[in-house]
Amino acid sequence: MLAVCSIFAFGVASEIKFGRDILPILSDNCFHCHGPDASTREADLRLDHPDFRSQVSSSDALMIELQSPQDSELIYRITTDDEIDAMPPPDYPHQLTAAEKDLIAKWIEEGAKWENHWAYEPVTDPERSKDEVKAERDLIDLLIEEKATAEGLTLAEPTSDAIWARRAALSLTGLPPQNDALKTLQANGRESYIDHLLSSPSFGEHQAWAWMEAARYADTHGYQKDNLRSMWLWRDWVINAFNSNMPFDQFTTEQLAGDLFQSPSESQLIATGFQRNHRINGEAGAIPEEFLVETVVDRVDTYSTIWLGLTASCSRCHDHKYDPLTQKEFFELSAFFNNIDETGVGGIGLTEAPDLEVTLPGYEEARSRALQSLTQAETALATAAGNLTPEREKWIRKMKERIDSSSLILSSAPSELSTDAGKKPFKVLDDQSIEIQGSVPLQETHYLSYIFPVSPSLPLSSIRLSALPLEVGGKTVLAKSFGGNFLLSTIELLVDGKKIELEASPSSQDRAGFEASLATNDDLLDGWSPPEGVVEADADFALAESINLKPGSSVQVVLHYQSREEQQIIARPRVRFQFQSIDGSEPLELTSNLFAHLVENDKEALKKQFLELSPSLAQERKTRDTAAGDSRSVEARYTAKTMVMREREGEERGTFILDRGLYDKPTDQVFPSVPAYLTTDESKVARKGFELNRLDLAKWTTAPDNPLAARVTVNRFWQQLFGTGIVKTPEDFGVQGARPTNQPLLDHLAVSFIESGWDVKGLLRRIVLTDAFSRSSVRAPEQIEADPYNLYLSSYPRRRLSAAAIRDQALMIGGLLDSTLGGPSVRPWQPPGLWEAVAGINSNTAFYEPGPYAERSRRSLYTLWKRSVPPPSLSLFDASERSVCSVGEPRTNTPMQALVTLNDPTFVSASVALARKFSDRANAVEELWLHTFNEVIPAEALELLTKIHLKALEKYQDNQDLAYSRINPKNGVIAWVPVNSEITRCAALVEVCEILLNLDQNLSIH
Amino acid sequence: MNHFIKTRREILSTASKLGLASTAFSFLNSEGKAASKGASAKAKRVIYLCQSGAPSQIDLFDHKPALQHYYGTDLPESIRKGQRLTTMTAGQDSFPLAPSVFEFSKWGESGADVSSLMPNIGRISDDLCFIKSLHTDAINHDPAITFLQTGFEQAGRPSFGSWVDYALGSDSSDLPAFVVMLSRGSGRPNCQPLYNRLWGSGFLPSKHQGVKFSSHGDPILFLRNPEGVVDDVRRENLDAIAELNKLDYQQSGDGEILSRIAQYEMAAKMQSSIPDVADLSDEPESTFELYGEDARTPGTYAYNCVMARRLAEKDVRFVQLFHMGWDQHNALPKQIAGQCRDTDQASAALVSDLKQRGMLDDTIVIWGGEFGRTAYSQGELTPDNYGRDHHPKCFTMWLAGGGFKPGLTYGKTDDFSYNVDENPVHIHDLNATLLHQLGLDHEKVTFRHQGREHRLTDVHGHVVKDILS
Repeated sequence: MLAVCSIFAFGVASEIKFGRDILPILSDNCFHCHGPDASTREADLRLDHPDFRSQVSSSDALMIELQSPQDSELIYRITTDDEIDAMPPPDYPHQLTAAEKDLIAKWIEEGAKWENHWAYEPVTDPERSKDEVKAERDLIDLLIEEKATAEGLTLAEPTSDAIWARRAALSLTGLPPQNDALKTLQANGRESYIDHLLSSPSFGEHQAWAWMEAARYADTHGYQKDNLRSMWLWRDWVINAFNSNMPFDQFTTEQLAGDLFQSPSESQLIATGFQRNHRINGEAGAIPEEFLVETVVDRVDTYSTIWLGLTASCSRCHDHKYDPLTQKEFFELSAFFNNIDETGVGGIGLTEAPDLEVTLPGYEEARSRALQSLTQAETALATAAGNLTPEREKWIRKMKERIDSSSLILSSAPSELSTDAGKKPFKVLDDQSIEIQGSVPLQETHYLSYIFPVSPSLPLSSIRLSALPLEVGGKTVLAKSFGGNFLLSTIELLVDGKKIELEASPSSQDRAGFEASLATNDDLLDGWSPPEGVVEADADFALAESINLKPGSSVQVVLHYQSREEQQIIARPRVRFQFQSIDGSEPLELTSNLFAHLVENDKEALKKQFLELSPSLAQERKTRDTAAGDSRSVEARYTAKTMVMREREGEERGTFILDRGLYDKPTDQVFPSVPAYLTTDESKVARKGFELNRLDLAKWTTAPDNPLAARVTVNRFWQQLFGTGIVKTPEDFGVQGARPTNQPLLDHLAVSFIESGWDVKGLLRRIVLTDAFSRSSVRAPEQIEADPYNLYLSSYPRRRLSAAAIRDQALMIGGLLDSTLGGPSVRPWQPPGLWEAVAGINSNTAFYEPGPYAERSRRSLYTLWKRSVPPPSLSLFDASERSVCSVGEPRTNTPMQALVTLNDPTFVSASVALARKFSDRANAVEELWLHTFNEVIPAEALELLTKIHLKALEKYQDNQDLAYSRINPKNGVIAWVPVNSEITRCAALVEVCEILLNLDQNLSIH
Repeated sequence: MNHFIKTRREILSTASKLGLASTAFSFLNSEGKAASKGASAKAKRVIYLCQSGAPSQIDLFDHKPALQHYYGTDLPESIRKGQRLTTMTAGQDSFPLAPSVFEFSKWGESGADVSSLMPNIGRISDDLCFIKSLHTDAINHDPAITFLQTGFEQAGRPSFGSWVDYALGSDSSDLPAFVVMLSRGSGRPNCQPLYNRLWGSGFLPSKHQGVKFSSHGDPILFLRNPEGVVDDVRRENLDAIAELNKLDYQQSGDGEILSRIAQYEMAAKMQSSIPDVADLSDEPESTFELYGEDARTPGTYAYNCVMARRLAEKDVRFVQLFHMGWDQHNALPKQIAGQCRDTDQASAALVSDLKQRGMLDDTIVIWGGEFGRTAYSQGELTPDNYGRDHHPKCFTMWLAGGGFKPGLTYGKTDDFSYNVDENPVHIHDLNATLLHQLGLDHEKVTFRHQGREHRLTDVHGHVVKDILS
């Protein structure tokens, strides 16, 4: 029955190991009905538990008969042709192969020994004694070589210093080496070179990129509105944590539970933003309870993926099909994250509670500087005004005469703006118009209240309503609507609470069907809307009967907006009140305040008014206004908000198992607890009350009895350095995940990482100094044949650079990279229209405005990340979308990528800048190659590139205009005016640079 | 992800034995599970006319004359059965039933119900297969359209087109296999937004993501050479890159370099093939008579329909249009008229045009949105004005070509177009059926991610045999 050769064909050593050889087969093919999930379990048989071996079948046969293996029920079931008895059932999509059946049979023959899934066994370091014996070589190398030799592989030779230097720099800092790197390396040795890289601030930036992808960091809230958010303080915290080599267990605890420390520092609170990087739904109609569940599930998912290599969300709807995580345990885990003072929806403003306002360094100094300038400017203005006393007196006299003799138009800002739902915020502008702030709903009524402490003797005869232009998202609009136009359904005037009828005067601005007169009838469904393209709209509404205002009269202008289609509310209204004398003289226009001061002859106030109005003081006022603006913006510039974790006060929210994971189907209440199979500490399992909190979870996560955190973490670092993890599914260490290609190596790394005090730089330093890391990436055909995916690392795995490294490297080689560390996210150039094509108008990310030049050459991790439209050049190179946790490092190879590195202005700029550096060199081609690859140019390359260079020189000599445009890329990172003599040389060399930067060896780490 | 690396390497090693294949897309996309490809394919390609925002089935196709009797009365609780509502209408005091203000007629030999808003669709209804009994899970736009396009409400899964590209690869030698085009509705320009993930590849390799064609600027990102770069110089540079990469390959033995060479070549081809396909100047006048004058204007739905046909002619596997603006919470009669003006003629023209060119048999055209709309009015109900809220429990879509039964109306809803009475079709069932027509078994087109085999239909979906010829 057993064919031994087929077992060897399957590629395993002679002794069958259950965990390694059998469990994956059972899991793949049988667990759906005979695995951990009780709800779909058939025949009360679970093959994930050792007891099944002694279970007796319905036909009274032992599942496993050690004495006569052929008689085992298990063997019968997997080999029989009987349609009813055969397992898996003949119509089941998964079927066992002959080799798998043989393995199971052999396992029983060898005694059917049980083993747990490898990753749930404690981490031990069995090879320690060897380490001591062969101390002259790193155990990492011994373990790799042992495995490679066992697989019959020949190890590749060490690579050159130049390639190693580039490999190490890109691996640790995400940037190619500095120009003098090779010299420094050869002078001071490898250890010192690595230490230098690890102490560079670029190290933290590079590490932060991977962590941001895992933590789903973004600068917008996601979902459909996708408004801006502010989380960059958390991003900077991550950079600093890596740069200061914060131990990874502390790094874990602060992010998971920094807010639960006894008296947490500001920095520890910022760290908890890790768990607020989830998306937040601001869609109208979103049900808070539903999205609160999504938020908490997302936290569990992210936590489990990053620290446990566990695909926990499978257990949201039912017990896990493959791993021993029950649905109850999933919700117990989620209970740690479910007591936050949050609503579940929002995502309109920069942060959603709980949040934290942070004062940035330099604030005090900037504030006192701004105040000083303001005081100076105010003094200068006052002094200048003091010199104009006669002029002022003359002005007051004249004004007084005029207010007594002519019609008046008083402009006034309302003292209050309210809606039926309460007060609405607004900003008063100098021309007495107001900018309406806050939400922009479909329908709203605005009550603008005006107080007239002093009233003209003339009667109020009409009001003039203006809609003034406002800048919104780079466009000038009258309303924050799609077309930028407003629709006023009805206008009403109330004087001292009494409604006064209005009549609209016809105007040349009227649009047929939307005349201002339609705003004075009671029909809410029609109204006034000016023609398209009007920059500023006015309408006059005459009072049916003029009315004399009493001193202190309150006047209310009511604007009803009842649009049934979109948000057509006047964004910046101004109301002017006209007091008409009978003679119809030319009216005098002034603010209601000035009018009151003149009437009351308030000398001090008039002095102030003069100071603000006199044309002779314009210069001084301008200086003062600038200083005042600076002073106001200090607060905004030196404070930033960020979202954090904060527990609810009072009663806990309470977590319930959700039937099929549905938010509106709660069943039994559960309490924060750790899954039983992951801990030996009974006090952490299946709690019956709120005994544990996130801090307990965080501490347990890196405690010795958790078999996973260290393994999963070192595996991710390994993946960063070698392209693939020792477990090639970094997100899944469960039964269905890949098995480690070298478990002793993984466990040794995990143990020594813990023993080092979770020293990240120490771990990376050790790995990059191994022989394995310095092996050549050149692969012999025999190696490819024997180990096609290079699982056993007999050579260094060549692969494409990450999205961020591709862009950052180009900027650095061109000498363009701005190395400023941290700060708010930046907006480099991107092709126009990308945001606009998909966005809704109510989103504040509907239009993309590239930032100033200074923002175009920062490292990629600072690029503003809009979730619904990620930065295109990064996205095309496999950057994660940042909606959910992502820990893999996929690398694809597409034509779209070629178009980026050939045509994206950022990359074109890099070629130009590089050419410019070398255009005056005699051996420009050779030097360029040396600069880019740190090695001497091969003869064939020199010949080919020289030919291209010379031909291009000839071409551009004859066409200076073409040459000029070649070196001035539109929308690029640089703007420069070349001197005439360098135009041709530079343009010709750009062609060589374009070739170099697009070579596979430049786009790859090798 | 290594699943991908494995197959890619295998394919590359074959490709390198055969010499450099010129059709980069065809071999790089062919890593889909060959086992899932059946010989039973009825259709080769899909044109998905996604109507984003959710068109009102009650005003377009699902004719409910009985509603007239209930004008203004409350939706009976016996019908609503506690169905959840969005927070936009959950607070409404009453749910006044709003019959459609639009006339309905029976069209063609099949007698399909189509309202006066869609006369052109009415005219070709004998070619269409209407499903009146679609239903879905989500009640808000983002989760619902994400579900429609990826089979899952939360972000992170591959889109329909990506799955198809993954499974079938490309038939085109110089165009992407999966192309996306967007247009804004004139009925409601201030509309629900879209998101790149609706054509994203999720956990599939990112090369399977849809390539969005822009209506202004370069049709695809960075397609055009920068200013100052002339074609012959670029050509020489590309040759030099290929030459030096080949040397690199000979030394390093890394097959991925060959793939890089092929992709650069493909990029160069696309630089001419894409502007060609996007240039409608070679279309005869009759095209614009058929699709409407709007078809002359890039960025309109009608233009995108003509483009869809042109791409289909060039063997692009999956063309996805999104037309925005179908979210009629208010002023439905006015807004939906605008939406229908945008789409009626061009959608019908596309079907007729494909038919006339003999391409309808192996092309699936599908028209529909992410959910339906309520029978009751959101906001004030007047004889000529009302709005409708989101409704996931029933809605209508139509399909044409690709082996779907023409002239069929399938499924039935109750008198209120609120619940499905007969033959319910869940989105998973629809997706399973669409894959089936492409010769794919929805249970077998899988990708291993997070420890399990994922598929478009998750663990659900049944092929709806009744609607297939």
